[in-house]
Amino acid sequence: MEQYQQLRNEPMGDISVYVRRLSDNALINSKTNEEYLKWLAEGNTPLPPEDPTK
Amino acid sequence: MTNAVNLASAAGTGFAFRNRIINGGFDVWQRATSHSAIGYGSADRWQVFTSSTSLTRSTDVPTGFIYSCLMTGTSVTNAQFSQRIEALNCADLVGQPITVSFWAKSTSGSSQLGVILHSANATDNFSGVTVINSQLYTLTSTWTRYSVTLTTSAPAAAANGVQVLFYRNGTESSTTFITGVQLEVGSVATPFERRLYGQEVALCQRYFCKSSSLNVVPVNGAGYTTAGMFFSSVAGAYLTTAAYTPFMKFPVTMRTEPATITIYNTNLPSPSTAGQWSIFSPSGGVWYNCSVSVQSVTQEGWAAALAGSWGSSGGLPLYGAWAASAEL
Repeated sequence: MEQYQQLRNEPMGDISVYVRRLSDNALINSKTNEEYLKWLAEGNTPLPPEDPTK
Repeated sequence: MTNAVNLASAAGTGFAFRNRIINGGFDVWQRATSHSAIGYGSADRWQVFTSSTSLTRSTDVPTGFIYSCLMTGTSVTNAQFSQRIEALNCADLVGQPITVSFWAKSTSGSSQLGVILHSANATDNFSGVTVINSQLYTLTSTWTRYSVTLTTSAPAAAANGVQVLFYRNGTESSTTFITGVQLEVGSVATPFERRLYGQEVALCQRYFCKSSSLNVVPVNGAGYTTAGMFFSSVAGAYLTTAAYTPFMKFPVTMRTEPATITIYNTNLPSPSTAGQWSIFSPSGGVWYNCSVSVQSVTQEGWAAALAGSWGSSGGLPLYGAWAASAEL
């Protein structure tokens, strides 16, 4: 199963429109990428962004 | 229209940009010269439709062409590949006749070659399509030009975008060569429109472009000096763990903001991490891997945000490569 992770834009801290596809680190547009939208529609959710304080 | 067609034929090259197919002569292969996974992966603008299909660049061509596309099918499912045409290039098709023409031959497999014209069910959204019409051909082992007027009056849904799909009408192993694909308004197939190579490349780059040279396919872990593969730049490290790149321009305005940006690394440092870039720390005198995310993006280009731990701030040397896709 493919996994995606949200990304945080620093230093502002907002969540990026792009998520990371963990199998190859490709950057995926969460609004338009068909594979990702299908993955979401199947009930999946991306991992939260990494905590910058850690 | 007859006079117009005659004029086009007489001129040899015809009216400019009457062919709505991009890369119909299979001259541009930015991603690779062969692939078999479903989706885009080799010939620009053309995608594989079933897992049993592979596309390969071939120099077996009719007179006047450089390349053809070899579609190879196995006995699992029908071999299929297609091109989708965006709505902005289809609005004037509605109510008009549409003619598709192409050169083809077959060297194995007994089934016929089919061509289907689909309309998208929503603007630029081909997750659902409707068949406008289709046609079957019995190919020979000799290059032949085929043409068909698939509709005398395209439906309103054609304004959503149309798709041309080639398929073998059987599940046997097959080899099909195709080139010179043209889709045009009108009921007569005019000569294949040969655009200048640079124009064809630019048309393709609206949907896919990369930082590597046109015919260099980036791969993870290749040597940083590999000819034409990697860019070097200077990243602005505002922290010892965070940096921005300059805004990196796409060669042309892309169709949309990219749906996918793929990241490729060099062999620096060793071991390097696939899908990351290489950043150099003067204080440590060594290369580090850094993760890449999108800091900003438009149809014109993008800037990356880099994260890692390189121990110094300021302008830091950077190596990497990227490929951006805004395909339909």
